[in-house]
Amino acid sequence: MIVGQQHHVQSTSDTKPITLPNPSRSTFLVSQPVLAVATSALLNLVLDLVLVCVFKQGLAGAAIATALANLGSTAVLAHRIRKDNSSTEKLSTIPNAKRLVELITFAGPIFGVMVGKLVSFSMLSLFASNYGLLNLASHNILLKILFFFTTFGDSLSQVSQTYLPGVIASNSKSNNLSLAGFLKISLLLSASFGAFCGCSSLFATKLGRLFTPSKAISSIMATCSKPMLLSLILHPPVMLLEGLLISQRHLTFLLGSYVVSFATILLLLTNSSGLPSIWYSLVGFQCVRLAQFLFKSSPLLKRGFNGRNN
Amino acid sequence: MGKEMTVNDHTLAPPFPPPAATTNNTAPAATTKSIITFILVTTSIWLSESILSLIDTSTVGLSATSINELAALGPATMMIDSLLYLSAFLYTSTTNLLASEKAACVVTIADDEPPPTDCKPETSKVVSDAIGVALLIGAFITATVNLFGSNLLLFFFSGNCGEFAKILPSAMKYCRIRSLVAPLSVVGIVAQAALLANGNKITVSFR
Repeated sequence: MIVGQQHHVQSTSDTKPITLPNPSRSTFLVSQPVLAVATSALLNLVLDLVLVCVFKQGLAGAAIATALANLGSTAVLAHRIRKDNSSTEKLSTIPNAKRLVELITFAGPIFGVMVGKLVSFSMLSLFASNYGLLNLASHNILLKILFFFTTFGDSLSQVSQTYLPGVIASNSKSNNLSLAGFLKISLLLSASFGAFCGCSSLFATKLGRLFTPSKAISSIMATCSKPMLLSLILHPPVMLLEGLLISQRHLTFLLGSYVVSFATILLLLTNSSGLPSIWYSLVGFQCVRLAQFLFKSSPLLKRGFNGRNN
Repeated sequence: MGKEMTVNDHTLAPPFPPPAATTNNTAPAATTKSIITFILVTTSIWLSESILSLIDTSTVGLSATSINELAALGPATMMIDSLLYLSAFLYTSTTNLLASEKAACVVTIADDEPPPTDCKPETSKVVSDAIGVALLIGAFITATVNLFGSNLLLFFFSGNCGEFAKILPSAMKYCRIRSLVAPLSVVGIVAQAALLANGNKITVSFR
């Protein structure tokens, strides 16, 4: 046994795996985040009120408030990192050549994927601007609704990235879920989120008057409710599969899949006519992503449902 | 170093990691409860960012001395947030590199095999390296906004040139202030990823 690992080994000598969570961290897992989110929102609100409303600093005041809120949150996070790490270690280091290559090898394709997403969604807005101000205004509200609900699906990608390596690595002694169990709960959650977000968006797009007093904008929004529903139903499974691929390091495939997805949405958008067809292009984009990710993830899914972790 | 060394062999032991560092090297347990909690936490973190953006918009909207300031808020926030969004690839990289290293430790210890060297407290090198890179990327964002900000803003503005000239001073002022803390904002993104990968869901929620 390599020296320096005694604490791990001693704590696992009774065959308990080391994956036991620290109880002190689990105590307030649900109540604390809600409280913390409320606290940070309150801080920004107070600074906004003081700087913008009282001292009349306008946009500059809002910028200072947001910047200070960012600084505060980073300080809390950095303090925690510092506390968790060995006191002899520096908080930040410039990576050596080997580690830099490792980071770039991973981060490079991920950067490409993020650019792919950004450009694809920007294309929607670009094409929407061809149909006049009313359509553009409707499109902007629809995008806000879309991005609000996609947050639920995005968390599934994060779950896959955080938990899958440990699930695959764990053995029968572990208190981790098996691969099959992990996949089942993830798929169940993605189906539930898809149904919830899709149905909620249906109400949101039908109730345009909640967002704007303009009846014209509300009626345009209502015409896009079906493609919005379909896009949001597909989003959680797409993100779940994307997370599985990232955690398995299928990065080149992922990058290539975004080239294909971007080409698809561009093709659909160039043949679109009217705002609803622009939103149906997004459905096409989601379908192409889902098909590609499902194809690449199928060996893992088969392995999981055949009861094998490795 | 190898299997022949025993658990109690302290003779060659490097400075022993404090208990906090030891628990920090473990992967978060994948149970149904922890997964659902994780989703609740990450979703609330990301939704909170939308809420903060709404607060900014409403206070500026209610108190702005001219309509130009409100009009400038859209493209200005879009530009700075897009630049910060692009740096979020570090978030994904940190989460995954850390999760993989922790999984390597789980395999090793569960199978009673010698742990890889990455199982040592130096695992946090992933985080400190990512923070170092985050500072550099943040500094790049600061420089980009201050040197090319007005050109970049054009991409995020759909009105005509006359309107753009009116909103440009306010928008640039907003972007310059936000860009000053960009290095620390990107560090915050990395720190959030690291803490979530460690299973620490309490601290990250302050973001």
